[in-house]
Amino acid sequence: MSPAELDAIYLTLALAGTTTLILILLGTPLAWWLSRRSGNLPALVEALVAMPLILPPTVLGFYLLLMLAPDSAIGRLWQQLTGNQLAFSFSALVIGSVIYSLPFVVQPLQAAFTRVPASLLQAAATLGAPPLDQFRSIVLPLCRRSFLVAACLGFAHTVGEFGVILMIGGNIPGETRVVSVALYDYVESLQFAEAHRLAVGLVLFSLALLFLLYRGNGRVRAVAS
Amino acid sequence: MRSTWLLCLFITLAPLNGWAAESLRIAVAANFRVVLEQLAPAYQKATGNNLTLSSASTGVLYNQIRHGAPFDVLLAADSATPAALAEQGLGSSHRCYALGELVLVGGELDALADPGKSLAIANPATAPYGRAAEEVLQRPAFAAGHGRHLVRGNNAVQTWQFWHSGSVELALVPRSLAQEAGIPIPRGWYSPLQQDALILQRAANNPAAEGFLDWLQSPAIQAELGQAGYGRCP
Repeated sequence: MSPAELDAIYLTLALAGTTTLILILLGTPLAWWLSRRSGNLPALVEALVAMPLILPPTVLGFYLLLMLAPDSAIGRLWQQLTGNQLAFSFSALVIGSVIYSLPFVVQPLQAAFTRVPASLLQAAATLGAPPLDQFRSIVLPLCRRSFLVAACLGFAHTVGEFGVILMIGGNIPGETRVVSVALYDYVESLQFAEAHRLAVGLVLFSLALLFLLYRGNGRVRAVAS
Repeated sequence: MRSTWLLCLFITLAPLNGWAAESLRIAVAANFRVVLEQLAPAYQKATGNNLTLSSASTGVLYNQIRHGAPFDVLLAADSATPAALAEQGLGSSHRCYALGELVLVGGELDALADPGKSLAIANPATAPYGRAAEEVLQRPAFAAGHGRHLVRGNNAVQTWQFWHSGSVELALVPRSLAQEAGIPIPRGWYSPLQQDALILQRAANNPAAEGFLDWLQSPAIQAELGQAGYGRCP
């Protein structure tokens, strides 16, 4: 592994880790709200959450590029608050990844929350448990596995992200050049041996992560039957 | 536990901000990246400066530069993009650094008149080499080949990969990719593929940027570029 590749791997893990953490923190209340409400507004929000599944990443990346540029409202505000430019920074990649991987975290959580019986929560409420306590003592233990699934999918999807990052990251070594972009660089510069090495690493990593995740699934099924 | 983890993350990310501060950031068109990567050690030896290369298609680089990408020098695959950026006040010192040359791989020139042979060209809408290839195909001598199976690559490199993988029989690609495998297309058959450089706003007061372009245009480096498959600027 060359230092440039280690940089790319480190960046990818840092990006996926930060993104997953933010997604769990933001996605949990959002998924809960979506699972307990029906009507036009929640349907619209649910559709917006699912949009990254459908939009081509380069289109999403182009709009993010406009949104985060130094002359945009968000770009200017960020510059005033932190003194640094937002576009083409690690922070920009985190913002892009959070949007891009949002459905992969929100959807499994929402599905799990929907299955939590309202009667359990009502029983807890009659016993005097405030909403946050109900969530902690009933929803969290019941949906532990779905949190794991959501976190793993969010992480894996961010690791595999490419089009958005290429557009808003600028392919800068050590700052925004993640593994998928480095892999693309190798293919574009006809360095196929290096490309194969990174690709095999990416495949094995994703396969191992998903295998561990789904093996757990089987055990839950075995216990349930 | 969660906050400790966050803290660790911030501490480990902090050094990233100051990285590569002294090196020159070059935004380079995909077709020139391989060559520049090979020349970079010579530049580092000659000047003591480092080069950080970021590559994409010229169109993507244009969009990124317009939206604040932190690059010092642009090495484009055409001359229109640097001209447009200079006009918007985003760069200066616009000049040619290499001339692209088109070659045919997979057969002799008259194979272009054979409708039974599949052919790959770069997408004329986005790639300068694709526009040049289209000009060549529009010559009356090749009119007989118009019904052929024509594949368009996203850029010159992908077009070359289509041929290299055996998916098509013929391809019109840059000489820099094909090396001795290609048959040169006569220069007069397509508009010159001038590749221009621009010093970007960020490096307006950085003498190293000007020095890099001077080095790129020096006779020794231009001779190396000739070996690598590029012609001399007019």
